Parts: sequence; C-alpha cells; structure tokens
Amino acid sequence: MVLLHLYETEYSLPLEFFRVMILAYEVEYDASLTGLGFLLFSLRDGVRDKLVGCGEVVFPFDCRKESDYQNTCEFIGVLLGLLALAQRGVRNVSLRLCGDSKTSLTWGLDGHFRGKLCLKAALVYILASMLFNIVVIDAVHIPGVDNVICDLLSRQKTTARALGIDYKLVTDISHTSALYSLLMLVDPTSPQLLNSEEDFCTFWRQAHLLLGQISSEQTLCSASTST
Amino acid sequence: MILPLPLQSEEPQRLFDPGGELSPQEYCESFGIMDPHLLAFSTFISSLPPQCERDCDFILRRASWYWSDALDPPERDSLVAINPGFIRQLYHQWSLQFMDYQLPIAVDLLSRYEASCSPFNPIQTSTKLPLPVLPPQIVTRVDQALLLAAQMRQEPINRVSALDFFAEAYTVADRDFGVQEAIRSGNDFQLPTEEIVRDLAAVADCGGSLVEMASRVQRQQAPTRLSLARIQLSVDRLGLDGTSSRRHLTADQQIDFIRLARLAHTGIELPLYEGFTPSSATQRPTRKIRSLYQQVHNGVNRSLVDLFRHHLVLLLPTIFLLRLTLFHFTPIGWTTKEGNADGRNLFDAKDGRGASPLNPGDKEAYTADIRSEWGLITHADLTTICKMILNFEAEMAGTLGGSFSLKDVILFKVDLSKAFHLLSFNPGSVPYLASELYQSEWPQFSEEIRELLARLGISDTEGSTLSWSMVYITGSFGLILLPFVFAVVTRCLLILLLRSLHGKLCSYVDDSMGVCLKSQLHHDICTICEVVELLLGPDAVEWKKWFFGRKLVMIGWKVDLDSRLVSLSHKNLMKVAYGFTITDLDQPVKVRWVTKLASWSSRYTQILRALHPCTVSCSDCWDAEYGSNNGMESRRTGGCFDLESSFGPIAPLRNRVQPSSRVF
Repeated sequence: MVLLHLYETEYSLPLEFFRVMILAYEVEYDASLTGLGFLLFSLRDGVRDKLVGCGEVVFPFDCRKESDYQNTCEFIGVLLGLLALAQRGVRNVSLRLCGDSKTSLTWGLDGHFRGKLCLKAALVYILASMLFNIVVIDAVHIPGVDNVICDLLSRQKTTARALGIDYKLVTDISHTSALYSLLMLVDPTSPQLLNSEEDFCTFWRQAHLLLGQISSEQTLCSASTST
Repeated sequence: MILPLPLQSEEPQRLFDPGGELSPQEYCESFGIMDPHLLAFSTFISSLPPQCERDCDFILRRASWYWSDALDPPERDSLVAINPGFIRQLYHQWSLQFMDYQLPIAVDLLSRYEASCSPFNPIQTSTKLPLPVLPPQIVTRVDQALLLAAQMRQEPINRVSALDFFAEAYTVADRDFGVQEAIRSGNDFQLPTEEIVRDLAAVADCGGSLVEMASRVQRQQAPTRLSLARIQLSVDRLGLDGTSSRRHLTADQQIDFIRLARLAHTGIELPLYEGFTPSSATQRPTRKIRSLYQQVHNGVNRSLVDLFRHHLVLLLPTIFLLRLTLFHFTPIGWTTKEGNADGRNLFDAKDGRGASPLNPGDKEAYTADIRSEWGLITHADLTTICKMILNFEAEMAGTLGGSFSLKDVILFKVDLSKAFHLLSFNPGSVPYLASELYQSEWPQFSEEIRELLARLGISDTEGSTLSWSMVYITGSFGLILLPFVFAVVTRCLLILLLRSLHGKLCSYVDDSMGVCLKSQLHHDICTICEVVELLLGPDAVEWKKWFFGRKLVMIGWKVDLDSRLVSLSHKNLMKVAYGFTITDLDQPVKVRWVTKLASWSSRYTQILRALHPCTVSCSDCWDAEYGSNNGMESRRTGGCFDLESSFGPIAPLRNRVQPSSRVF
C-alpha cells in the first residue's frame, strides 16, 4: 500500500494487462510425491499443433509420502511448465492448463490458493506470470487414466529420452539450472514458511534473481534450439 | 520421432460451465403469469416490430439534433463549469418540448476540458485539511511497513510522505466511518408534523386501508415512473442502425423484459418464506429501534422526509399501524454513503428480534428461488471495465485506421438517482414494509391528527405521544430481493442502449460506465439520458454523479487513459491503509471487521497482484483461530486474516472467462 501510494506509476497495473490474448500454448502436467512431468504444446485455433517442450524432474525435497503435499506438487508442475515456456522465450501469451488435479487447475486459473504449503510456489507463479506476461485463461480437467505420459514421467517410470522426444525439446532442470534452484526455493517441505518480514524479503529477492536468470537463459535456450 | 499426442476421447470436462436457458413462454408458465396485460406484453416482446420507411430519415434528424453545435461557447463554458445542473436544465428543456427545440446540451463543450482541470472529475487531490497527529502505535506500524518496503526496493523510502498519507487516511476514514459527522449533519432535525400529516389524511380517505392507499399513491405517480407503456416505447426506440431493440432480442433478453414488465405492472411482490410470522401475528409486537439509528436519527429522518416529499415512502402514526390486522416492523439501519454526510438508510430486513425477519436466516434456498425468478446478478468489475476500454480501442483502430489516436478516447459515467426507489412494491406487500422512526421527543397529538385518527376509529389517544413510522412503497436497501429485481432494470437498460451508442457501456447496479470517442461523447451521453428517462421517468438520472474524462474513478478503481494505468482510487487506498493500521493484532477482533479487511485485501491484490498469494497465510490464520466455531465470536488473532475463501470469492486472476459478464 505504501509503495502503491509513493510510486504509483511503478506499482499500478498497466491497462494492457487486461488485453485478451489468443490461446497459444497448453501445459499438460502431472506430479507424484517424488517428481513431476510436463508436456508443452503450441496451439493453432485452440487445438494442439505440436509438441514444443517437455520436462521431467525428481524433486530435490522429500515429501515423505505425505499426501498433504500432493496439491502443491501438482501446482509446482504448473509453475515449471510456465517457466519452461518462459525459458524458451515465450512472452505475452495465454495458456491452457491440462491436468488431472482440479485443485491445482483452479489455483493456476483463478488464484484461489489454499494452505501454507503452496505459498512460495504461488508467489513465484504470480511473479513469473507478471514478469513474462504469460497468463492462464483456460483449464481442462482430464481423468487420471488419460494423463498417461506425464504420470509416467512424474513417477520416473519412463524418461523423455525413452519416449523418443527430441533432446532439444527437453527442458534443462539439471542441478545447476535456474529452474532447479527455483524448485528448491519453492520447497513445500521447508520449515521456512515466510513467517517473518525478513524471510519474506529474502525470498522475494531470490525469486526475482532466479526469474531474471531464467529470462536471460532464454537467449541460450533459443540459440541451442535453433542449432 | 514425433510423440503421439494423448487422445482426449470425449469432450473434455470444462470447469465452470454456465447454466441453461428458458423460453419466454416457459418463463410465464413457470411463474404463473396469468395477467392479461402481462401476457399481451409477452406476445408483444416476442414479436417483430414492423419496419418503418421513415426510419432512416428519423435517425438522421435525431442525429442532427444531438450534434448541433452550441452557440456562444465562452458564456456556456463558464456556466457549465460552475453549475452542472445547467446541463440538466437544458436537457429537460429539450425533452419537454419534444425535439422541437434544438438540443444545445453542453457535453461537447465539457469535453474540451482537460481531465485534470474539469470541475466534474472526481480525481482531485483531496482537500488540504490539517492532518492529525498519528498515535505512536500507528507510527510504529507505519515504520515497520516502511522498513519492509525499503527492503523490497533496496532503497530508502520517503518517511514524511508516507506518514502524511496515513494521516490523511485517518482524516478521511474518520469522516467516512464515524457517525459524528452524520450527527452534526443531522443538525437536530425534527419531523415536520404538520407536513407529514398528508399520508394520514390520505389513508383516512381510503377507509383505513393501507393497501388501497399505497395503490392510489402509485396510480398517481404512474405517469412519471416505470410502466408498460414506457417499456414498449423504449424497446421500439430506434437505434443507430434505424431498427428497434425489439427486433434483436434473444430469448433471454425477452424474458428480462417480461420480468421488467412484471415490475412495472404488478410491482415488486415480496416473497415470504414458510414459517414467516409478521409482527401483527405476535402477541406483543416488539419495538425495534437500533442504537446506531438513534445516534444519527436526525439526518436519517431528514432524508426520509425527503423521500416522503417525493411520494417514495409513507409516513404514518405508529398507533395507526399497530391497529392494522396485518403489519410487520423492521428496524431502520444506517451506513455511510460517499458524498453524503447523512449516510444511507437501511431497511434491516435480517433483524429477527421479536418476530420473523423478512430475510430468512437460512437464505440459500430463498435466494435460489429469487435467482430463478429474476435472473442472475452480473456486476461489472475491474476486468470488465478494462476489457471494455481495450475492445473499444481495438474496434476503433480497425474502423478508423490511421486517423484513430488513443488520445481520442474518453471515459464517462452516469448514475441513476435513488435507484431502488425507481421501482414500486406491489400494494399487497406494503404492510410488511413498516419501520418505526425515532425522535428524542415526540410532540403531542394535534387536533387535526386526533380528528383523522378518530375517522379511522382510533380515539383512545389521551395521554399518548405521537410517534411516527414509515412504510416503504418503493424499493429499499436491505432486502435480499432488491438487488435481484434491480439487476433486471440494469440488464434491460444495457440491452436498450446496445444499438444506440457509438461507444461501449457496462453497469454496476445503478452506475453505468462507458467509453467512446471524444467526438461521440455528446451523442452517447444524450442517448443514455434519453433512454433512461424514457424507461424510468424524468429525474431518473443523478446528474451530480455524472463525470467524464481521460482519468476517471469507476466503482473505486482509478483508470487513467493518459498513463495507461489502473489502480485503486486514492480514497479506497486510504480506506485500506486505515483499516490495516488500526487493527490491533494483540486484541480480539470482531469477525465483521475481519471480513471488511478481507474484502479490502481482495481489492488491493488485484492491483498488487504479486501479493495475492500472501492471503494464503491469512486464510490459515483464520482456520486456526476460527475453524472450530464458525467464526461467530471474537477471538484473539494470531496475525492477519483472509476470509475470502470463507465469505466469498476472491477477485479472479486476469482473463478468467466470466460467462455472465456483459459488455456492450
């Protein structure tokens, strides 16, 4: 509030923010308590055109098989899908989510976040959405039995390579990547749950820094894809 | 290898599907509409109007009236600048003479004002009042906030400016929330007994029948209020393309006009739920005077007398109402109202002390019935407004090409006067709509009043004092039903304006907000006024709340076309700042206050979106503190709260498709 008053032009919302953009990409995702997988599709007239990306990761945190973390893990799938698109240089587009978790779909579409566990992922998600102007405008629920590929990827039952996906389409979520650092930052099992203003500021700065890195990695990613 | 895409064998299940539809005939059958006038109207509204050969000629003539250039600009400029009523006077002059008079409305002159210097633009720096000294605990809170802000920005923050802002918030919030100003504004007003005897005389003429009297008053007022004839004229009014709205109505829209016809012909029929017991059926009807109303009663009574003078409420001696076989009392409530120190009167229909409340305690089924009968309420919100502007700009750019500039666009808003009072209750419902007035001292019965009461068979007034009550015959704030029936008016107005404006328009209850080209402002404002007054009667437009400009505050949001930014209005930002800083986290907090904080949070996080997820921790705090007892009692807080999830939806993220939003 203070900032909005003192730096109004900086903290107000641009009118253009409300412009309806054509639905251009779809993120299909699934998560287990040990990892997640996602597929990125470009759309033509709202219909899947081609696969433009894929990601799989084993979580760097231990959910101890506690189902409380399931919704947040699924939502991290949404977050990584969005960030993977951003890393590929995608900006100013609308997005459709496709998954078997109604909770994470609703969080991604409407922002009705619930519970403390998703707070850090939600903060990064909103920040990334604003920074890259990638906006979720549609969500489609599919039955779990139809969400085959992402489910297999999330349970490490298969790999993008085994599925024959072009390596250029596979998102780098190796231990040295910014995406991996962000994954650690949004760790829902971490006891540090932004209880103090200091925690909040530290988190805020780290999130900004890592999103900045993802933004700059775009150039490298685009270059490697084009070669 | 190309990865085979997962097949989606069936139509995927969409989240948030809209509902179904009814035909006008099915609607009439469902709600037992048997009245021949309404059935005739149903046939009228579902049939196509004949094409008129003179349509185009008429449209051209009307356009020339609207667009006629005003003479003597300097003189009119200055008149307009000091007196917004001037426009109203001109408009009335024009409408009274029914277009024989060239419409010299000064909207085009007004449009030459820069927004920043327009006397009508509400975005002004607030009056420089002496700022109060903030209490030390508040200064500490502000300092904590500044520290956080400095850490986030990694630079020092201007403390003096921030403290001034909070001090100003305190001034404004005090003025808005406190009752002191309302008490001062009341200025010890006393009910003018000699004047308000009018209704007692009228009810005596009706043989003591309140229903008959209400019916008679409504018949007398009918020519200047919503009626079947006015609706028919409105739907057959020719739009820009030379055709009438009736020609283009969908089934849904036809149903809305049948609903409107019901309101015009039958009035608002108050639905009573099973188990409702009116005050008259209780052995000792409880007198219901709210303490807040007692505090501000002078100002409230003054505004009620104003409504009485316009025949919008009846004022009758309480002793007369208590002798009726059927009556129901509801306490008068009060709340603040922007721009009116007297505040807003409420009809506190949820109050169940003594007898049943008019609004049921379990309102879910009751509201569902109302919704099916009167339709869904769809309010414009920030997203609706911004999309409307962007769509209009895109359309104009497409139509005008290179000759279009974003600087040609202007915003405007118009407001309806005493909106709910534009609708009348069915006379049969009127006995249920009484409220007892309060005055610190009531006068003795005058001889005239004694005689009138004697005519009504009430002669045992010796030793009694004369207290008065009011009875609503037109819409009131506080009934669950009213927003739903008024939404019908809002929807119908938008339908009628759909084909008549160059620009676009959306509505929030009685506030209409629009966008058009500067060169079209003249036409569009005139058209809105014409349609509103044609449908709802003269004086239906609240000219005091008529604004235009490149920067405009719309339903609490500041939209600036020059900087292309949207934000909270300064007033709302101060409200939020005030609310959050005065909340003492170490003391019990009332649930009602927390819901207010939650509602403000949802507002500011629409602009400061990055903070939106932070309401998550508030929600957890709420669950931890209140989860076990439904939040009905004050408890110690552990921090801040977010009740959005418990008490209503959070404002959606951007671009969420809202099937019910209407932008024309």
